Amino acid sequence: MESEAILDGELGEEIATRRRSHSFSDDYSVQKTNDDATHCKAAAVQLGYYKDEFLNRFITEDVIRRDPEINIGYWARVASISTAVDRFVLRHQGKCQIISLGCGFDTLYWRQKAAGKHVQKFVEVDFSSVTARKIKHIMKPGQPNLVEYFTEKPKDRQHADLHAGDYHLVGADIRQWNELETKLEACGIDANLPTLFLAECVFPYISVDATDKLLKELAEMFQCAVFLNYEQINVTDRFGKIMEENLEHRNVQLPGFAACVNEDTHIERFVRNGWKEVKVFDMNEVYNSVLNGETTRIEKIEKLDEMLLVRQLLLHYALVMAINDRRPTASAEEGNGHAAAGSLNLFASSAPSSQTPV
Amino acid sequence: MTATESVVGDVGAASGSNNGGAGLDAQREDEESIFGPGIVEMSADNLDKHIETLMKCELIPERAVKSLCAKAREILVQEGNVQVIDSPVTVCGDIHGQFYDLMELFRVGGQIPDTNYLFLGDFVDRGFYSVETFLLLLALKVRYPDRMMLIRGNHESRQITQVYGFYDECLRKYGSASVWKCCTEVFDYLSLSAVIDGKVFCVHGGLSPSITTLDQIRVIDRKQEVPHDGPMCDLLWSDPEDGNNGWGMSPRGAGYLFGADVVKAFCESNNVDLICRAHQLVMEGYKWHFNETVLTVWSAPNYCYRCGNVAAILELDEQLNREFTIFEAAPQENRGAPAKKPQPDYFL
Repeated sequence: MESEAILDGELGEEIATRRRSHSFSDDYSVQKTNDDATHCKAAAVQLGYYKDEFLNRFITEDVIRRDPEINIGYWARVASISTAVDRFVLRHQGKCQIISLGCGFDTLYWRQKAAGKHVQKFVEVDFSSVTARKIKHIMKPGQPNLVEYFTEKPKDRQHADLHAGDYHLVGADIRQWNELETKLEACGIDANLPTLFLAECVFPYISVDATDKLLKELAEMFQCAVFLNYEQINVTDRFGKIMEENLEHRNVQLPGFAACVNEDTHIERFVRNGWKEVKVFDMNEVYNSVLNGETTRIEKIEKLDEMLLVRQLLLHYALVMAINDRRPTASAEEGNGHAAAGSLNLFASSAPSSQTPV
Repeated sequence: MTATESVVGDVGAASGSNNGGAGLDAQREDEESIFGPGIVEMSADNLDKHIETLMKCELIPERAVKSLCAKAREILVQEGNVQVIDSPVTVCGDIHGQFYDLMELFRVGGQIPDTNYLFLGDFVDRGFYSVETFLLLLALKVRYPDRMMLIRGNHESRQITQVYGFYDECLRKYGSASVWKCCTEVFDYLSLSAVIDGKVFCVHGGLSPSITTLDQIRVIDRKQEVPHDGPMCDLLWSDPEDGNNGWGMSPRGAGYLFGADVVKAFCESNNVDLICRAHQLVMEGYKWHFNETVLTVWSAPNYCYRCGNVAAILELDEQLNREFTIFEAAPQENRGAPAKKPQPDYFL
């Protein structure tokens, strides 16, 4: 940044233009989206939408009020992903891995551990500038003590990677497969173990080509994987266009929106990159089905004045679930804590967690 | 109002608190009032100056807010719960602090005092300029009391403004809650409804099972915070339910859903042709219900800077002929500095 300041006007301008061009999302602005999401979640937690005793360890500024539909939307996202993760972990009885891409300051690892839900490895990946900050927050003294949850004493590498037994936090640009692959190997990832990938609002910020490459490599590498992707959908209508303009004003470019047009574009992206079974649930569906046991409580918290605002927002976000199970004996091993591809569907009403085969 | 008239307000306990909003008190109000210390006067000249300032979406000093609110209360207290209005008048729905879109509304609907306006409430919350929006509307009310009608919406409430932004905005812009407090005291004085030429009943939300005649509205003691239930609450919170009869539970947790038969009975009992209300986002700006006996008017384009809806106003001429004007959000170049572009929240 400093060298840019002394460049003569024309070149400086050209660089600035390039930074804001559609093909090149401003990484700094994308990283700021983590701060925004973290603060929104904190606002929802403060009002009692859901519990997260760990989140305030990652907050340094005052939490400002957000509108109820934003609180509700964040609750819906956190609650539905937690539900899916719980089902995955239960189904595999903890003999599985979770890899969170673009994790930001997410607290899922600690929430899971506090609830007694263990997996063999929990790996979080983000830009090294984000992981460095996350490591600082994790290591600083305070309550609850985040380090206590790790199965081993944390080892910090280059201030951007943290290895702590069952927990790993690594800095990598997920657009660079070689870099990511090396970092995953350093975490001791087992490509034969059932693995749940999580991505929340990550791919819209990177090019469709970069995401394609990533999804393809993951599909080839892992024998049994579920990918849970939360991001925008239906983005070509007026609401979507306005969202694009509003985010562009924050220098957040959305080169990945081409895959967020509708259910088909979401499905097609996973299928063309080697994923076998793909399901798309728009967040209204999730709200009305997976989450319907709690929506009455949620809508009462702040005397929601206009349900249409919630519906409109939720209609433009989706959970995409992609499944790939190449294990030869997949269906035969049901009783061993493994499961057939079909039952990997984490929202399938026919297989709620309470009916997990034993 | 003539230029020699002066506006006298009782700023009461809050008098002399000039600490809010850095530099806002640089331009001093009139000299100390003959009515004693702490009583601030506002001349018509000064009022015009404040209107000019607010028209630019700039804040007026806290002590000016206090005298403006005091004068507004004096005017509003004289209005009935069913304010009688003559046509022609332009009826506007929710504004919600979208200041630059209100400017757009005046551009398409005509400036005051050339056009008479009736605003159906929900001036504040959600938008980023609730303070400027409400104070401007209030200043125009004080300046042109017979040409500018304001009735109360469900957001003109202490409780709701603490959830939806007006309270936080006052704190941010004035450094204390005293402006919010002052404005909420005005909210309690706002009329609950209006009737145009005896034929068009106007209210923010809708009907109430406790009300069959306009006289029942007239006897409500409105000078209070919006209650959680009862007739006053219902007028501000209820919604029509298309395709249904009778009364239903409102998903909003306050007010009721009312059906076609309820509307028919109310119109017959009170000899009105139309119930005009706001309160619900309508993507097309306005919407008819129950065979054109109920109308929803929505005047906040691209609501929350996110929804993508258009807005509408209803112009009623002397014969109560109806004409709708649809308008969109003010273009960016009319919104002042680019830094002022609102940044609505999404899930990121």
